[in-house]
Amino acid sequence: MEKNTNVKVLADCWKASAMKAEKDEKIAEDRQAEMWSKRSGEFAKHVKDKRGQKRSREIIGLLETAGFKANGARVLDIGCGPGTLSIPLARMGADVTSLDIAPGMLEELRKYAKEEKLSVHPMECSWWTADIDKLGFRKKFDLVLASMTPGVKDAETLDRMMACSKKYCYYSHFLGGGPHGANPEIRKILEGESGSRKRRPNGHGHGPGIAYPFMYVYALGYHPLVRFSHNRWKMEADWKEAAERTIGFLEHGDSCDAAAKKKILAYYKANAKDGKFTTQSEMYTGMLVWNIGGSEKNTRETVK
Amino acid sequence: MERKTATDKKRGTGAKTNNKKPAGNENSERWVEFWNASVRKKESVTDEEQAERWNERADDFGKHAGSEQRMKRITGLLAFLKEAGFTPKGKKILDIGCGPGALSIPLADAGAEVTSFDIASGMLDRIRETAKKESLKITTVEGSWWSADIDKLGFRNKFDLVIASSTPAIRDVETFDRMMACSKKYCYYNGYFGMNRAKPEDARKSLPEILGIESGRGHAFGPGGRAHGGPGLMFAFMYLYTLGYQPTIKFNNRVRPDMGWAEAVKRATERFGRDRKLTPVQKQTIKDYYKSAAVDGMIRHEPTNVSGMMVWNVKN
Repeated sequence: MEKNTNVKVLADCWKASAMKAEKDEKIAEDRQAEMWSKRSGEFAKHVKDKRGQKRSREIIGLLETAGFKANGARVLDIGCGPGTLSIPLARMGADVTSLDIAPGMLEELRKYAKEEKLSVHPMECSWWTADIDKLGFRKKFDLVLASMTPGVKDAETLDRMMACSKKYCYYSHFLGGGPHGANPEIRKILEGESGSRKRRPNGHGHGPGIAYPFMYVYALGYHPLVRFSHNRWKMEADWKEAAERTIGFLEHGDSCDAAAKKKILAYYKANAKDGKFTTQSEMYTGMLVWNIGGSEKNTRETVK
Repeated sequence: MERKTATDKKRGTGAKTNNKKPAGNENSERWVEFWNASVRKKESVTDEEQAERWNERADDFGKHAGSEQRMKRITGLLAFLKEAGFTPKGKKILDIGCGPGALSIPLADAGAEVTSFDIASGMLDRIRETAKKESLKITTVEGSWWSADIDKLGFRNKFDLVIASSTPAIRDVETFDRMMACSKKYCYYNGYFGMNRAKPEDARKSLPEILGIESGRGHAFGPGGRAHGGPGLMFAFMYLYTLGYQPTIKFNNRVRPDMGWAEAVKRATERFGRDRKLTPVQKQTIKDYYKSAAVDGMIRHEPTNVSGMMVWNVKN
């Protein structure tokens, strides 16, 4: 296999695709911090709710299948959010350095860590511009995580992530761009049928999903352990809260003016039952684990 | 977690001819589910429409490629196959969506016995002509891969290599499984992967935009993607990976040759004039477009489209 040409071509493709997504979604670094901080409360709930815990158990189970042991391990969690993975790993005895661009997320994480006296070190940092030598991160961690984060967005930021690990890497993302069916009816209201279809391939600033990172890692010669999951869930919330959440999503893409807000609020109010609105969501995600330390590049089980 | 969905069930009963599918697992089933959810509406194009569309193009499809470029492509393919352990001499090959024979002919020339399958009789006419002239071992079969019964055709497990190169014949899991079922050893798949360069902000509008012409939209091409659309190759690759295969893969920049601006005008006028009658104003617009873009009289195309080719052994 012409490994180097492949790697170069993939890096270019990934970058071109990410640039397109960035242009489409108008995501800039400063706006990222603001947007994610705004959502920290909602995300923080998942650290302790049933769905969030099930999800982290699934991920940790996969890491263990690949041979990772949390007790005594040094872990770097890029785009840690409120600690969905940092907290359970620290509970299992890992020493976790948790990075996020959003101070609001780190605030939530600090609360949990303090409560349980966990070995977690929160750090405000943008992975897009992080200097891993200044940070003293190079080859320092047994596991580096990039779970559903826009922090790793191209070959450069993935290379940077891998450079911090002496053994395991974990990457997860949506398949094909984002949650399917996250309020498609809203788009219909605002943009008409054709508009909703046009928007679908790209999620909310998540770029091209898992295709490029997976291919890139494969082209480098690793054979990652892969798991896909498909989740559907229902979320019941106060109609106003649900409407605000949708407006928040749309504002992230710069596509919500006063008239649209009014339409959305009216829609949620009209479709609420006893003041509650039920949102049905569906998403496909992919998870990858690979070992960059061993001479054996094949992480996954051999399938006959 | 729910695994069985409507699409799964449909897949199970939809293809009676495919009773020996590759043994899947929970993970590959989930990928299939995603693949199915991503495939654009299948019913939007019928077999008849496909046949008609390709027949219209049969006379000059593939004629634009220079012979040097074609040679380079086939040399690259043969080297790639050889790396995986395959040499064509004396082997039985099935070429699905063969077109005018860009691969069938050189493979037969290298000593293989080729079955060339296509939906367009016009394409097959061209192959037969060449095969007769050069005494090549090529059998042509006209049909739609979307509805092909490989048992009736006697294709199951019959070929040393099955090829599907840049063809809309393979459009989903079902048609991909059907391809694999015909092979007793190797499969080769080539498809669109992505763009290696984002359009710069100041890029001038494309010609169809300027002319106000809808172009290439809504044409399902390869698994999950439309013509030059999404990373179609990815669906097939990931499916194989979850089944336990580790395909050898190579990415290629599709380079379009430099040409004089007058030649570019001629080709664009022909291309856009296929489905509509161009007005004198539109013809002039095309002329101005290339004339102003030419450097030293030449139009240079930046490579932007990336395709991937992969080969795997179905018995491994």
